Formats: sequence, structure tokens, C-alpha cells
Amino acid sequence: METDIPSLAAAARRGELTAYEKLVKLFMRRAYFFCLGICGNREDALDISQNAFVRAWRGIGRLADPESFPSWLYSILRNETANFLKKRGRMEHRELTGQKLLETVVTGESPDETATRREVWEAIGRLPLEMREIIVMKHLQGMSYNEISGLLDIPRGSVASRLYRARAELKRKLDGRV
Amino acid sequence: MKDREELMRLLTAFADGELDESERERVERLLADDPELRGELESIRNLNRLTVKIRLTEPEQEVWNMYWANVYNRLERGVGWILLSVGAIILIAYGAWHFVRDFLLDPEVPLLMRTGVSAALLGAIVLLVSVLRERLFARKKERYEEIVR
Repeated sequence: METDIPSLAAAARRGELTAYEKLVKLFMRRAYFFCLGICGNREDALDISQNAFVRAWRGIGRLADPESFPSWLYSILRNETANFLKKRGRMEHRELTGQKLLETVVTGESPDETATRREVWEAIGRLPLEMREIIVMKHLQGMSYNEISGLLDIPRGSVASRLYRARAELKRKLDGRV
Repeated sequence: MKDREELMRLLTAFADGELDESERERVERLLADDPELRGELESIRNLNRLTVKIRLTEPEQEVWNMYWANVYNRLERGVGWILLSVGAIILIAYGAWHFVRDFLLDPEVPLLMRTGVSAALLGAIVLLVSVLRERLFARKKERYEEIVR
């Protein structure tokens, strides 16, 4: 599969749907897991991420620089998730009964650790949106500062500052258990 | 305050292994002299240890297999909705114009008949809009709420 993102984005901008299909397939996992980390619900994450790709296709003619496709797509994803949460009228994670979002078995983990892990997940879901975004990107998606800086279009130093503030808030939400 | 913010920024990047060599050495010197800072670092590392263990479950392969098809269907549906809306607007406008010209303004149709048909039509429109609004509202608020998987 051709993975030259700027070339694919340029082709998609010319209206080539097959190039756009490749872009969607390249970014679908990242998009889905980003939305899942923010909204905490599988069906909603699928719905939001797919809608974001529809919006991106409709607006790709306005993408000035094909190099910036990833950050542009992320800005659409962020808008879509923010709008979705606003419409839902509830900013926290909303997990459905019986929906298994977290891997239940982590090698060598005690029941206490499993419970703490769940508490951390729930605390992430109560963070303000901007903080949740950066925690999801860093901790759940395992991105480097460079990647986050590119996708959020902010300097590396701001990534560290935002992470510091987000982690401090997360610690506060965990009531000093860390 | 600004210095502390800068220090915490450096410490965060240090804990994440994201500093260059000179900055790393600077933080290591500060850590050696400051037990409080070492406590902060330990606290960041504890949180990292917990968050690093959070693994979101992969959806079934079917979800990825169908992902593009679903996006494509939405794109296609979007075009369909636009065409349908344009067509519906033209037809409704045309129908309304004929209704007014050939029925409401026709002196040969009895006034009682014109009033009755107009009232029935208006009532049907009000009911339709009300039901649609209620459905839309319920869908936004209760979506998936009762589904147990």
C-alpha cells in the first residue's frame, strides 16, 4: 500500500476517491482510538470518526498544504468529538453496560491494580476536554512529543506544559492515590 | 511561579524521556539537590506506570473490514440527501403553488370545502413536524441507553 501521505492527500484533493480510501485506511485506527479515548463509547467512537472522514473528504479542497493532512484531520476529529459531547450534554465518558473497553488481563496484575487502572480510566473521562485529548494521545495512543506537537500544531514545549497540567488534574481527580 | 511552571515542564519531559542531553543533565543536577523535586518526579512516574497499563480493546476485525465501506456509504448518502432535498423543495413549491392557484383561489370550489381542506392539511403538517421533532429529540437523548451488549 502506498503510504506517502502528502501524495495521497494531494491526489484526494484532486478528487481521487481511491487515494482518499487509502488515507482513511491509514488513519482509521488512530481516529477511532482517539475518539474512543475521548468519548468512552465504541459505537459513538465509530460514528464520530467516520463522520470526521466524511467531513474531511467534503473539505479536502480547502486543505492548503497536503503535508499537513494529519494535523488537519486531527483538528476535524477534535471538533467532531467536542461537538458530539456538547450535543450529548455530558462531557464524561459514557460506557454501556457490558461493553468491554479495557483489556481485562494485564500480565501479573493484581485485582487491586486492575481496580486502580479502571479508576484511572474513569478519571481520564472526567478531565476537561483539552486535557483529556493530550492524555489520550500520550498515554493511550503512545505518541511522542513530536507527533503530538505536529498533530495539535503547537510547540514541543507546550506539549510538556499541557501534559504537566493534565497530569496534575488527573492526580487531583484520583484524590492523591498516585 | 513562571520558574516553577518551567521546571515542571522540564520534569514532565524528563519523565517521558523527551529531553535532549543538555536539558537532561540540567534536570539531573536539579534533582540531585532537591528532594521535593525527586518526589514530584516519582509522582509523575507513578501516574505514568498506571496509565501505560490502560489498553483499550481492539474491536472485531469486521469493524476494520467494513470501515471504509461505512465511510463511503455516508458520502454517498450525503449526495443522496442533497438531491432528495432539492427535489422535495421543488415538488413542494410546485404543489403549493398549484394548490393555492387551482384550489384556494378557485371561486368555483365552495368556501367550506377550501377551509376544510386547508385546515386538514395544516393539521397534518403540524402533527408531522411535532412527531418528527419528538423522535429526533428522543434519539439524541436516549441513543443506545437501553441496549445491553
